[in-house]
Amino acid sequence: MKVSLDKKISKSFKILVSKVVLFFLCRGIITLFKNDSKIKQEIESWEDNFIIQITTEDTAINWQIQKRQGKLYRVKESKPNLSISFKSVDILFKLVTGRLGVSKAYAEHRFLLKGEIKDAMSFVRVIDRTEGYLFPSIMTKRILKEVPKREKPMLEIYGRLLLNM
Amino acid sequence: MIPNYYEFSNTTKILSGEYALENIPVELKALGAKKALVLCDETLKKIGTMQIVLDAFLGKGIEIGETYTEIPPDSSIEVIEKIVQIYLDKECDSIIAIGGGSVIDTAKGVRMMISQNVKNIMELAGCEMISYGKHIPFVAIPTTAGTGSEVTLVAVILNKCQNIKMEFISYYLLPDIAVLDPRMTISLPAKITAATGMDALCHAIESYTCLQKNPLSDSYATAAINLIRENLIEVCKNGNDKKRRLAMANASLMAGVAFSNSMVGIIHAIGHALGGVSRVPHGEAMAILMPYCMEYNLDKMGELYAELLLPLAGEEVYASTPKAERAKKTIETIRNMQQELNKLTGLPLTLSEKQVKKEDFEKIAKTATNDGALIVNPKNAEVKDIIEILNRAY
Ligand SMILES: [Zn+2]
Repeated sequence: MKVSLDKKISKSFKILVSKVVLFFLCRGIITLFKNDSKIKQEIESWEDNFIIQITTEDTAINWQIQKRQGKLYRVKESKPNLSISFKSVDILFKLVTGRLGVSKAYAEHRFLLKGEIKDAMSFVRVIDRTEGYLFPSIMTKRILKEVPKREKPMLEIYGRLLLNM
Repeated sequence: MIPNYYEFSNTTKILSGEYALENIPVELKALGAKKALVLCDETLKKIGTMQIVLDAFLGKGIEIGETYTEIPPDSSIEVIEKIVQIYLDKECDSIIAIGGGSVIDTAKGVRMMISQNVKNIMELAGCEMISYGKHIPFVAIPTTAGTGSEVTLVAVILNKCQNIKMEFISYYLLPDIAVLDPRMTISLPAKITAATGMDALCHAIESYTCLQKNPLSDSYATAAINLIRENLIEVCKNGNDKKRRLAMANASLMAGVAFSNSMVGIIHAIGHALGGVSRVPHGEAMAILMPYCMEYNLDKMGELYAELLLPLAGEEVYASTPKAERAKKTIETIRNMQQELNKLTGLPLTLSEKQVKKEDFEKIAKTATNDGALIVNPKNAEVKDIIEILNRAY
């Protein structure tokens, strides 16, 4: 028995969308690090050279972000200090399309976590808050425990995000 | 309601009741073990609890390779590394842990390091990321009725350098055998009986109300609460009642199965921090914090708290309380239990009684926000919210 073509197409689509949204998530976090006091405070608590990875067990997706000398960079092929690996890209796809929150994904045992839980907690707060800026509140109301109050308008953040690209 | 998705596992075989200890050697042999390392603490050695277990091995073909009893109240990385060396030097092939949460968590740490063959336990920090590894037969014998550690997938281990309690979460941490024998808890002082019983209650309540709840963990949680209602106060009045001791051991185990599969929430997040920063014993922290944290959660979790009134207060009280008032009645029932346990055993009611310093509140709250338990609490909590809870519980 072979995997059906439908599943192959659907998986390729989910990988593509996940990669695109993760790219914007990275830009979002970098932009908000400069523009949101809570995200700034959170990231300042990370150790220097700290690397976070998002990946999945069934694809080659390898999203990594590093804090280096007080700034954030997208990196590749480094050894992460904290790794969140989704058991399947189907779940990562739900997450990046705003249909599942990180807390719920954790509750459903949807990912493996390598590293210290205290670091994961800080990263989850950053993701939740970033989603609060990037996704409309009608979406975040369903997936976040509490919709964060934006310190700057969503459009301004999108503008800065696109300008910095 | 059936959740969108859930997972549930409890692979531990349970031996509960009369002469349960005497059946351990047969179970160990069936698991292929010949030489066991026994872990315990000094107090249990002194009062003869450990000897009762060792006596159960008479003529059964399992050798005791070594007994190690210098386990501190907080299991730490240093102690675990020392025990791993003893296990290897003495060529043991299995582990028996006799004690409360710290001894059992220490044993989980030792087993994890040997079975995963690592030099540094921090390599294994995380959640569900370790694989099955080499199988080390592991028997857990709880001597308190509260932590439920004999059936949980979590090990909480103190990292002394950072003064934080590290969490290791994996289904492969579950012991092979959990033994509930009333002889193990009979000598437990009333105050510890009360505190650990309230910890078990807290496990049941948080597992029933947090994000990972599922129909299987719910049934364990409510069964545990029923047993606690029927037995906790009575066993504090008469500690020699073996039937009630066994009932409480079962309640603790059931609550353990429940929270192992649906985790705990804000009460434990703050409780772990209070333990780390201010050294408040876990059960006492749970007892003090429970009603205040439940009040905090009330607007989000009221419906579930209302459902818990039935096992917690019994059918008469449940039926005579109007639906809209049941959640508050649940909290009131817990407060009444606390008051009674306070009168009977001296169980503390406030943080000030435990000499927690107000100037530490900020540190406690920050530590709590980084505790994994907070992620499954359905209501968000920031540092300021936790300080508010601490102030109320002071
Ligand atoms: Zn507990």
